[in-house]
Amino acid sequence: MSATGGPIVGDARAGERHVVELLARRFGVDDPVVLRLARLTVRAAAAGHSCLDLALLDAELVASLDARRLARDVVGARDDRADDDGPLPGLEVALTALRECAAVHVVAALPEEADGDGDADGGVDGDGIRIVGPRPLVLDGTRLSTQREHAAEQRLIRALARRAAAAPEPMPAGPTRLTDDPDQVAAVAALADAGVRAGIGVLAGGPGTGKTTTIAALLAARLEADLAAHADGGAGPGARPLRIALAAPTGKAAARLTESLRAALPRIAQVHGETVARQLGLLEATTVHRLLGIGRGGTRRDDASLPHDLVVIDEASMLALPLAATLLGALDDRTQLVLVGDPDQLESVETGSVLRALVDTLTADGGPLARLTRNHRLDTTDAAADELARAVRDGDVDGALRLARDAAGGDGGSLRFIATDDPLRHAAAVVAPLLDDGEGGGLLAAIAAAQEGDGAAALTALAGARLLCAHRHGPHGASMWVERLRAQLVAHVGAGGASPGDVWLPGEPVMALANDERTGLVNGDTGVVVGRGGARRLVFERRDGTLLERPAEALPDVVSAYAVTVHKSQGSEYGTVVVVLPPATSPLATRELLYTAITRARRRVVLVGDEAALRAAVGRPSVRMGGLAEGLARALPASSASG
Amino acid sequence: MAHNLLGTELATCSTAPMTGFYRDGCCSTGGDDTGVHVVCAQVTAEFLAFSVREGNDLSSPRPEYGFPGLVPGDRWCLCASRWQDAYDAGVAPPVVLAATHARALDWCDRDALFAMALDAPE
Repeated sequence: MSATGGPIVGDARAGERHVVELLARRFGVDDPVVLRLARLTVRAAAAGHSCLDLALLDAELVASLDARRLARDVVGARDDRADDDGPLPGLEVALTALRECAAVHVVAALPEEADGDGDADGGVDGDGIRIVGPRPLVLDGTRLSTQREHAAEQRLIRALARRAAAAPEPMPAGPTRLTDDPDQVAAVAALADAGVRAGIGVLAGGPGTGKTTTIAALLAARLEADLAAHADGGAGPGARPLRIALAAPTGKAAARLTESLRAALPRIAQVHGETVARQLGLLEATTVHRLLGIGRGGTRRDDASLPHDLVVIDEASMLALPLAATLLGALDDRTQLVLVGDPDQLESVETGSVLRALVDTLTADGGPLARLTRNHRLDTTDAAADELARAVRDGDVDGALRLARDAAGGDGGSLRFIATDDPLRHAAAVVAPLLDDGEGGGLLAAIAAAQEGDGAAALTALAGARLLCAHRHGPHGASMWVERLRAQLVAHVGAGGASPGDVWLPGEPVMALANDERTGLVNGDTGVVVGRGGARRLVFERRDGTLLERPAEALPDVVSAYAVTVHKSQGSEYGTVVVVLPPATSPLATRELLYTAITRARRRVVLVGDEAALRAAVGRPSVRMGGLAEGLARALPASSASG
Repeated sequence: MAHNLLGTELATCSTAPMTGFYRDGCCSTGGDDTGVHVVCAQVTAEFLAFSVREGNDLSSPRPEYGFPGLVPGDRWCLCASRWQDAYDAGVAPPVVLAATHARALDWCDRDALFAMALDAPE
């Protein structure tokens, strides 16, 4: 009977216990230094790091790895037992202990030796990876990883290196007709070319920069060229129709991609012709898991390579390391891969920051990386919110503080700052823009529509504004705000009645927690509670635009969403976003979290917190320990890698 | 001997419904119990509703897990971190200190537990 966790997944303590038991029982390890480093490595993986870098090991790092602290955001009393084993070992002591340990595979100092024919003899799997045997830990330089994380990283590096060296057949693209924005036109050209030369193309850009338009332009150009090849009756690569797969790490992101492409179809029909538009209209984005046929056990049901000529992965910032490795392993060298995403956003809740490592490694100048920087979607009265997003992204603490201070008194602009070290004391100001978003939407409009049984109108009203928190639980968490908002809204429900003991209130936003084949709902889908009196029904908008309506009891895996975590809000947009800043001491107070939260807003951002919290978040980039960027820089040819 | 929050022997929480990770009426814990079901609470309607909204329906019976489904007034061994979540959200149910395992302090705030106690010492 588990329930929703915070943004941090898994029970790190159970994992730590398991690894320590394994080391002790199977390998007879009793060195307290090794056991402690093993525990910290598992804890690091639970916090998203694919390794523990011993060169960075200090008390601050250990504190930031405490999953309980991350999830609960309580500093002090309850968490001071997290790591009570005394002073941390120094680097040399740690390395010596690990090198002497039978449970640790030590990677040879010169990785070049592992290339070429050298690893053909024994202990090599199909991907050319040296099998490190049953040893549960791997030491690579100063990086200590679990065998699973290390293998995934190596698989990904090898696959990308192999693709870069393979030089697949060129795939002709027709002219770019859908956009005349010079950045987007250049991006289409770079991506069309990249698959040939580097085996991968990356399209990086923030919200509103036209990533989806650029994908649509690329797909349409490809399809037009493909159709022309068929019309000529030519054989060869064009002998069968182009096969395209679209996918995203989450069902919600996949649904949004499908939706955006469908919305572009009329324009595509105009500039590329009806046939191209019809072909594009047949495409439906899926989750990466579904594309790869990954079952409940986390492995592919079938090892066969994907049959596609072109695979496009959207929202790739959320692509976790093991999934990226499996994806690359499932592609033939001739399949072109394009990753699309915003590298400045939060990473996957699992390990790794694949997109950022690629963006840091690949070269943009004529290489496989295309960047879009101009925001075309500004729907605001002034530029303050957009300027704040840029200041946060660039780590400009002074600029962000200046913008926030300028916005402290104002009410009508795109940015408002409620400066307080105790958001609860300003609850009325926090809640006001949620109740009424100033554009006809908000929670009160949702209640009115829900009481009339109009789920569609209620959903539209709810898209007007949302409260975002860094944490799910704790005194600053989304759960607390959900209960706050409910307590206040019971009075607004009025005739028909609602009491504090009711499970659901009419107009209450809800979110699905699991994929459900029967209903077509996917994890992260949002809905609303409708109905008068006791019988409540839930209405969700499905990806095809149709509404799903069910009694509340029939949809068990659903949580309240008056307030949601920033992690859960990824891929969603709202008119107004009210962001409760995590306290400066919270390890979740990072640049990427704040940037992701701010960029969920189309029209207005309301920041709630004190200047110390804002300064801390903007000043602290999320750093994930891992060996991917270094491994890629070493493995990719100079023509595609920048470093 | 398992200890409670008062430093004495752990008392039975509830035998009707039969609670505890080991279904022996006591909020004791062991290596398998990663959820640490150690807080003996007397559930309220408000808490049960909160729990549904958190994606953890404690009101509906789940025979496959030997779970009877709770009604307000039942005593039940709650997962300690869940109890603290409810406390932070302002909807924590009252607790029985004599039947709450001392390990609850790994997850819960001592002052919070004592503030919500049905059997607080003088």
